[in-house]
Amino acid sequence: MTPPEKPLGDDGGLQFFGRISASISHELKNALAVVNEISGLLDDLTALSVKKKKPPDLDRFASLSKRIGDQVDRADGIVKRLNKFSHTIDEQAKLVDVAEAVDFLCALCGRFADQKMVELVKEPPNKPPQVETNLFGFLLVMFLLVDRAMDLAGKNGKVHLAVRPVDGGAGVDISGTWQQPFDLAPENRDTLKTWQGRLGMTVGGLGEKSAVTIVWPPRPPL
Amino acid sequence: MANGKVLLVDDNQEFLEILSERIANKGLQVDTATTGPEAVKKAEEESYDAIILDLVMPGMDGIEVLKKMKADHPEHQVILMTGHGSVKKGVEAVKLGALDFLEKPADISELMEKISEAKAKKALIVEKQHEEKIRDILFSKSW
Repeated sequence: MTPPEKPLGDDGGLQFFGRISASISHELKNALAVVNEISGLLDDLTALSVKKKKPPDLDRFASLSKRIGDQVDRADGIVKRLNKFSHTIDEQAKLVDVAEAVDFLCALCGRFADQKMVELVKEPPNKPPQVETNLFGFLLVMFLLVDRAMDLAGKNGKVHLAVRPVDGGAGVDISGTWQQPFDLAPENRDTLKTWQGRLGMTVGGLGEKSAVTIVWPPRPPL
Repeated sequence: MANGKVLLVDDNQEFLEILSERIANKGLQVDTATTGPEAVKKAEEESYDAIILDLVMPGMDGIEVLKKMKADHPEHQVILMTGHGSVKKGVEAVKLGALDFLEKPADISELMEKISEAKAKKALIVEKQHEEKIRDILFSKSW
């Protein structure tokens, strides 16, 4: 396991890590809140059956117990996602299945998409391309662009993510229902520039109304 | 057992369903809404002793809903509830007129206390509004 050469805080990495962690912690809190209420309801129903001197409704108890199990499964999935995300900083570069990485990005972006009321539509390739890259950097760059695309698409909009092989590397096209030029905030432009230099990908379509295309080279520059 | 009418607003359907049943078991009448606009509409049409509002919701979030409700009906008593442990947002909500701010998962006893507090505060405000109306009528009429 080789740690990244540069500290994450200088290049937008820490901010990205913070946003994703905060979002995941919120999802976990929601699952815990439901478990808390179901457990409270089981207590209330028990107290009520004692008070009324009636046996508890066992079917209801079984159904509530199953719902606790469902929430535990949900929380387990969220924790697994957090764990997978945390491990993306482990390796400087690795072979990445780009379609799989875009799937994972969509899972990380799911709550953001829900909040912005935007649908993320994945268009997987027939032959999934693989590139050697820094997975954390890949997700950071993609998140920066997809997050902006979701803002531009607006409520009830759609953002399409199409993966395709390009000259031994991979291309990801981000298109959607926006009408205005695809711009980025100055601090995000700086972050993108830093990671472009590090990972060697190119980003086309910025400042235009059409799709944004990110082309990932087969391997990062030396 | 408590009584009164509460509007519970949260985009998480399951949370909404269970918590509303728990509050109803305490003797309160509970209405629910899963979006900000739906909550604003219900608060416009009905009188609630307390409105329990999730801070983070798709589209119109809790702060926006709070602003809209307080602008139209300052007597509404809103308790904000959220999974975000953000003191800053809580302070902002209280500055905007929320009665209080609870973090999820909330303790039901604490929530019931806040609802009672909201009910008492609203009763006072409504009483004051009635007094002012009567005073206005008395001053505007010659009799």
